[in-house]
Amino acid sequence: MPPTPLTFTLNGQTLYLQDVSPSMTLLRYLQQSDRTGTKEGCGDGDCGACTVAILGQDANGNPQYQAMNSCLIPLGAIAGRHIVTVEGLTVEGLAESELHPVQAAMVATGGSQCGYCTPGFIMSLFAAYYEGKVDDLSVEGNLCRCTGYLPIRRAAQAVMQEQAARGSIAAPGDRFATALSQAPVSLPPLDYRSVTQQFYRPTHLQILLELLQQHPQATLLAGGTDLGLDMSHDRRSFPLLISLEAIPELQAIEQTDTQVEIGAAVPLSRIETQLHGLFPALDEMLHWFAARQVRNRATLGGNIGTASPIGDLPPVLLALDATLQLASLQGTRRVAIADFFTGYRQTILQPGEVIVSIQIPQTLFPGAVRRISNSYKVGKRGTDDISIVAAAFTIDLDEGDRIHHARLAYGGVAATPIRAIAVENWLLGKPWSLDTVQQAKPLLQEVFTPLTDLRGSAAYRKRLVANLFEKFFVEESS
Amino acid sequence: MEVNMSQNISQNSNQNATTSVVGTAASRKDGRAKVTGTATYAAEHQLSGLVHGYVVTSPIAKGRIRSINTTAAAQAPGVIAVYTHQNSPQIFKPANNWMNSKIYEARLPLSDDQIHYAGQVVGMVVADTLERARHAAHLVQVDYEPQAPQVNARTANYQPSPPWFGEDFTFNSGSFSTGSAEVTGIEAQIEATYTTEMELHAPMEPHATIAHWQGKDAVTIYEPSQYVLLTQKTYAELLGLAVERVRILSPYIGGGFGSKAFPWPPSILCAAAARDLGRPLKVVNSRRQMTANAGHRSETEQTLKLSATAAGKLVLIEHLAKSCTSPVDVFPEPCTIVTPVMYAAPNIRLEQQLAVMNVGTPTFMRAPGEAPGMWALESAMDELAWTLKIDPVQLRIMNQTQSHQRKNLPFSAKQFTECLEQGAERFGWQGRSPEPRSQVSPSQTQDDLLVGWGMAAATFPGYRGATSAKVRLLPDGTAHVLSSGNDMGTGAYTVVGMTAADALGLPLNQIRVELGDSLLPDGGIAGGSQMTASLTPSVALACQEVLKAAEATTAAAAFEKLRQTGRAAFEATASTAPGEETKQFAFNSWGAHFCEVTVDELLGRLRITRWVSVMNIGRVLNPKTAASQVRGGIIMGMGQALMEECHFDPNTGFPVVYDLATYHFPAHADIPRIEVAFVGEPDLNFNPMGVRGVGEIGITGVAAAIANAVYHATGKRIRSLPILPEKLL
Ligand SMILES: Cc1cc2nc3c(=O)[nH]c(=O)nc-3n(C[C@H](O)[C@H](O)[C@H](O)COP(=O)(O)OP(=O)(O)OC[C@H]3O[C@@H](n4cnc5c(N)ncnc54)[C@H](O)[C@@H]3O)c2cc1C
Ligand code: FES
Ligand code: FES
Repeated sequence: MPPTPLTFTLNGQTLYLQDVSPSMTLLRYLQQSDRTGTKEGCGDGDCGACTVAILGQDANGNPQYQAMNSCLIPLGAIAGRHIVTVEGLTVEGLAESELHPVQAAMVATGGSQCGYCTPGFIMSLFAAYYEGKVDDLSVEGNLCRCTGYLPIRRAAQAVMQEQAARGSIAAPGDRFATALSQAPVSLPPLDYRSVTQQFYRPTHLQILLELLQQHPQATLLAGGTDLGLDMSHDRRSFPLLISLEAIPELQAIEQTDTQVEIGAAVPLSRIETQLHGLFPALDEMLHWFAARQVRNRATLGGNIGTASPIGDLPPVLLALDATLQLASLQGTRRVAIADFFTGYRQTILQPGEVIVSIQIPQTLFPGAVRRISNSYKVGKRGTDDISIVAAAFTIDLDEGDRIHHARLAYGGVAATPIRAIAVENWLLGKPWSLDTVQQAKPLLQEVFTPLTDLRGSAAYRKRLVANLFEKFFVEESS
Repeated sequence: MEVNMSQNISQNSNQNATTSVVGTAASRKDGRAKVTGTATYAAEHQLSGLVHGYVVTSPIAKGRIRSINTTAAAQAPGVIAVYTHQNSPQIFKPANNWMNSKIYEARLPLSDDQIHYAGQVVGMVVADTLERARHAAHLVQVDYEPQAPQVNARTANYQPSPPWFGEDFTFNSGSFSTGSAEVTGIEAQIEATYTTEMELHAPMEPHATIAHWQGKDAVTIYEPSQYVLLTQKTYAELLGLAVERVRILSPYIGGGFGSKAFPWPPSILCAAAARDLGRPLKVVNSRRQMTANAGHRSETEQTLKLSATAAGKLVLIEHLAKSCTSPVDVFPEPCTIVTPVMYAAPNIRLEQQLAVMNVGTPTFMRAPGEAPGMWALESAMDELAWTLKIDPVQLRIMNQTQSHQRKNLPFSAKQFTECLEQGAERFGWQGRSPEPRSQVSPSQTQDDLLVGWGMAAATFPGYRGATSAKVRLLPDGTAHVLSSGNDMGTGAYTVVGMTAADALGLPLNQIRVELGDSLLPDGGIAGGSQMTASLTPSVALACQEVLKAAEATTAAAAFEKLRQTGRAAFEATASTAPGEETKQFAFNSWGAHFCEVTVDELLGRLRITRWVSVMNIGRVLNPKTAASQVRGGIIMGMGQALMEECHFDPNTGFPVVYDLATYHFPAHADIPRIEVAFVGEPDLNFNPMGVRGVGEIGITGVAAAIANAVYHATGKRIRSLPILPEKLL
């Protein structure tokens, strides 16, 4: 069978690539093909200099430009997609006035000094422009070492004002708005082979499971925000990659009266918008999770599958008593998230098995009348940071405001995401009061034996474990 | 590289020739190139036949190489060459004396089998693609004989520091110079030790070099360089070439902050290996390799003693500063540079000490000396103010000095009091509660947070160097300004253009500026905040000279002559340099920072919620680019204050901070509204433009202002940076 080429559209031009490595990052490809407008500041997803816009879907399934880190996306994952880079915003020879509005605003406010971060900011602003929401959050994943950010903030504000004054997102005849309205939304299947590598993108769960059975050594690729680091730096080879991005079961969000079921490969930014307001603990943690470019790619399944002790979402899922739907050709099973992690980066997942979805119950614990729940993340930096300690709490109260059900879950304090079960049990039946919380604090301080690392000492982490619970009480009762 | 004014979409497009451009908030000339991604940085130049080098670095921090096996690497696909100390390409030892040449690290790459720090370059693999070079670099097998490294600044062995580029910071006055121990009038005293951790410049553009030889005796080097002409001379010496056989191109620099003025080992190796290979070669430092191979600011430990009368008059200042350097070069962090310029005292003792550690070589980082020095001094002043129960603003006004006490020269055009008073006014400082833990803020909504207000002073010397610039008038009615000086984001393209526009009476969009090419007249260094102060006088003079050459009084008349005579161009080159004024005056810029922080004591979470800075920098050529420079300095100071720190594994000596996920600097969300204002007059003693630099002063005093606000909020005095959440719990 002749190999199918890897096809995608870059700035309106369709490219057919043969014999490229499907795990080569888009950024590397752009650089090699003399498209140097997109910059590399780190290759780790941290700086946003490599930001490009990729056509994806919003929460309603409509096409949308999404900012993403090109240093973390392998070529295989962009097959069949439309990409816009900074070079695509201006046409050679166009007059000054025909800069894209976000570019014009950045020139006018002095949004660049050394300019190395600028194309990344431009692309984040560009994606936000067509969402009609050009705010500070749209550039939270872009670092700048020169400007102090203020002129960039001013540019964003200027663009917003322009849109408001016009009463529409894009000016008439805006070619990107036109492209958006005509864009396809579904991803085609892919079976791409280079000399040494294979990249599959099945579009049916059954086919995925068969592939997995056939190739138990294959690497499952969801958003690639963990795996992409290894690709960006060639830290290991990927002979066989299977993308989870085109399987309907893994891409759906289903809501019933009693639970929400989230497909394992749904990008976090979609969860953020679609489920907003349902679970305060989830909303809050997603707000602190990495930055926009990463959330546009990262998935819940990947955050669980990677089984990091500092993953931010497992504590939330533990606090909400989530269950996981796992599937393999041998059948499906449903397990409580509390039983999923078995040790440092170890899970119960068997070869050939995949996380299909995550179910979060929406009901109170039987016998309870009121729920209080929230989550916290303590890092060194305001955004775009990894946790020192993450925590998520759920307290269900009975009619007498006594604690009827308690979940106190943490990340960053043990080899796995973990619950303070002893303290949860101790809390049962006690009144929900500052006094109870103060009594629980010394217990909490001693439940875990965290490590000291460069993010924080063991002693600090232990105090945080206790203080975060108090913070939760103070905030929720004020 | 040129930037064309007509591409500028700023409000200046309808500027007419009669109004002055200098002093207006003109938009950056290079703005368009940057927002469209067409500004080309060193690593992005495309050359046919380009091959890629990837350096092999040492995982151990001290010891020697027993043996190296390169067989596997050499046989890997695509590999063209593998270099180690056993087959290093030829590199000549440069004079390394600033005049003729300067390299960041005196030891030449691959010069022997000794290992001095983790991350040291021990080899380089060249291959047809970056991926293959990187892959093969991991196949180079090095057998090391390790020794226990010293990577702990607190236990290092300190010795009196040598002078810093000719300037000796040791200073004794009053009783310290006479040796009499008797100092009278002391009614209050504080003594404390302040520390900072190792900081990285972390420019967004990683260091990169492309070397393209034309035969064996001429080379073009694309490298971000803050000092193009000295880099040219340096490469000429390193490669054994005549200076004019080396061309350096550095039109755009993706941030340097002091780390991109001279070649680092990977760049030197790149240039030398490219000759050996006879092919254009590119070597890019990865973000991780930058930790050891792109400089840093040393950790510092400073002990300050301030003694004063009850009324607050300083009687004695003692400042002992320690910093560290690498085993292969000497770079003291000159913290005590600020002490004799800030406050007057009859008895002053300054001392600097230096220790050697197994780390890469430290270097200039934005406000070298001033940034950590002002952290300690301005924290100590705050402590003294609390001890004396005197408003810290008043304490500073009362004790400022009108002369540089070490150089014994009066300051020119000093408006420090105005900075303090206007800053206090704009901030609303009079609403400050005089007790810690009692401040309330109108902007504060959450009542479980503590609020604190803090302030600190800022200062940076006015440096100026010799420069040249060429101006060319063309029949098409445009003027071209040419210089090797460069713009690493400072706004030089813009202020140079504005200076020429005014001097020639032309609108800004008729000026073209070309910078960053060693073929052009020496524009000096973009460092020490002196590019504007040094270069704009030469630009202004060259404009006058070109009108003289044209025998015209206006540019319009000169253009007319060109058209009538059919002549191709009028051209003139002019040079300016500092003169006698440096013997008559001391030059410094001044400033004051005021800030508000909130502290959540349960989590140790600190937020900066408000910031006001007032600066006295002489003449402000462009308030927009100048304010942006100050703001950039302030956020770097916020980083220094709250998060920036690099650490090493005490056993292996390997850095445990090596990328942007572990080396944090402020993101958008960390930054409050920052208000920057300027006061004062042009400093015409300093140069004809009256301008002092603005690039570095912003960072000075920032960390102290924050720590002082933290004390006000919590009653806790933090004396070690960064102020991590842990320290506030
Ligand atoms: C800059 C940056 C910032 C980050 N910040 C945070 C943060 O704040 N908090 C945080 O928790 N994490 C953070 N991460 C880590 C990462 O983004 C998350 O872990 C993310 O959820 C991973 O999802 P993914 O879809 O990208 O995973 P991928 O990289 O695609 O996969 C991760 C692992 O999970 C496996 N996997 C994926 N999906 C499945 C599935 N359905 N079934 C079985 N196995 C599967 C993969 O095989 C792989 O081993 C950050 C990463 C970067 C680069
Ligand atoms: S290069 Fe820094 S995020 Fe991609
Ligand atoms: S302008 Fe230099 S990093 Fe943003």
